Amino acid sequence: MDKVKKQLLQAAINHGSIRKDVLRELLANLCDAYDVREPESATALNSFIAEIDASIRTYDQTLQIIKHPLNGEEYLVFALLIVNQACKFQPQYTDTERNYFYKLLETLVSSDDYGIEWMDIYRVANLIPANVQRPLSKQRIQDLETIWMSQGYFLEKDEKIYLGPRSMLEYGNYLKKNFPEYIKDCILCNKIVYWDVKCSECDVKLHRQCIRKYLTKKSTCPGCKRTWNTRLSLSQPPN
Amino acid sequence: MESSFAVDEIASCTNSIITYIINGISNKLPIKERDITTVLNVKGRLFNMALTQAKTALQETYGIVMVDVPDSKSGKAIICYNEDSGKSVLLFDGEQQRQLTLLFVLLSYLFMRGSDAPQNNNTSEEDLVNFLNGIRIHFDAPHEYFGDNIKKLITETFVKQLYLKREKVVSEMESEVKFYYSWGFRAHMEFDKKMVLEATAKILKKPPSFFVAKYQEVHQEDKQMET
Repeated sequence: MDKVKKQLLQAAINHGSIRKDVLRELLANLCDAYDVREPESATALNSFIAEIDASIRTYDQTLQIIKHPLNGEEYLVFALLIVNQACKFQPQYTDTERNYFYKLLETLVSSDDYGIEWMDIYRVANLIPANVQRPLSKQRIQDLETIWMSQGYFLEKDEKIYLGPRSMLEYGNYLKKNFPEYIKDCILCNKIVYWDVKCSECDVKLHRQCIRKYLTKKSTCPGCKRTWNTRLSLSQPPN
Repeated sequence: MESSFAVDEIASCTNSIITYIINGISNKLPIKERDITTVLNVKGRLFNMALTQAKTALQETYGIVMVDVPDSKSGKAIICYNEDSGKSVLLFDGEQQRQLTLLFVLLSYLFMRGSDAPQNNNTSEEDLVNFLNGIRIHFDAPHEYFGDNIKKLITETFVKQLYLKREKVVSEMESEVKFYYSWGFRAHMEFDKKMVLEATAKILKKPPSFFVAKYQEVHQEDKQMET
């Protein structure tokens, strides 16, 4: 079983983010190759992942299954937990490219629904301060977007680009610290809430599950205490 | 044994090394120790202790093996690879799968010709190009599966990643420059020759023992271990 864990971990590091159906297939292949029984139930899978997560926490890393609120899909995400000096070393990216990434995060966070139009990726590139290094070519910008999306940093939906599951995990605290006016915690569970539900009266944001549970006991908004009258169903556009 | 460093100092340094290596692992380029020490701003005994711990952790928790590259000219360098070769094609993304396939074709060709080590039968770039042309892979033309940069992939990328060794030989008589290929250090570490022979034999629809010399070569180690 240990071998399966190691291979899965390497796969997660390689891909950055793996969609659940692919994860299932990969796990089946690995268990087959090493002749061990596959953790089939959702609980078994979750505790399997939790075991790997526990073993890498000492190295400031985490492996988690994240459900993305925008498309409801689940992803296995590998993320680094603290920014230490080694993070500045990413040989595949130049300083300009790293700045571009942070600028994209900043732009996404300050947009209405944490999303930008696909075409905006070029406009954002022009916002980075000019320096001696070569500016990014159009092709390189597209390539970077593709890489970052497959790694799970960004998510594409309906012709727009949003924060992806890996950004949510890896940069959550960074965004909360640097953009407190845009990124807040849900007041019911104290974890970061990105999309989900907003009270129509006071604009406070809450996780759908959190407010749903709260409303079984009370009928007011936990923020402004006025009667809650915002629809909770998923057919509501993300706000 | 006396240690003049605090436990968490070493642990913090170890974590940084592990992060550094994990960040750089996908491009498969050798990592120079000098680069790590510069970025992390550590050196000497603290670094060496942390590096040893990192090596153990990488192997035990991640299944990543770290080895020193022999004869590296510009200071000590290391490469990292998976302790267990591809147990599932899903470990790799599309681009990596394509590169690995081409790599396998090249390495098995070199192996069957006896060019896994440079002092054995040598394979020139010309031989290689002709072989690839024969299976409709061209150096200078885009390939629908393997992509647009086959020449760069073979002559530069695989060489930098230490999968292939590409040696320049200036021939005085012919006064021209020729290149010869053999297996690189990483290829020796990552690819099991028995497996290469079996896979090649399967493609050519013959039993591995059909290739008498190669078969004996890969099973020689088994004989040596028995005696």
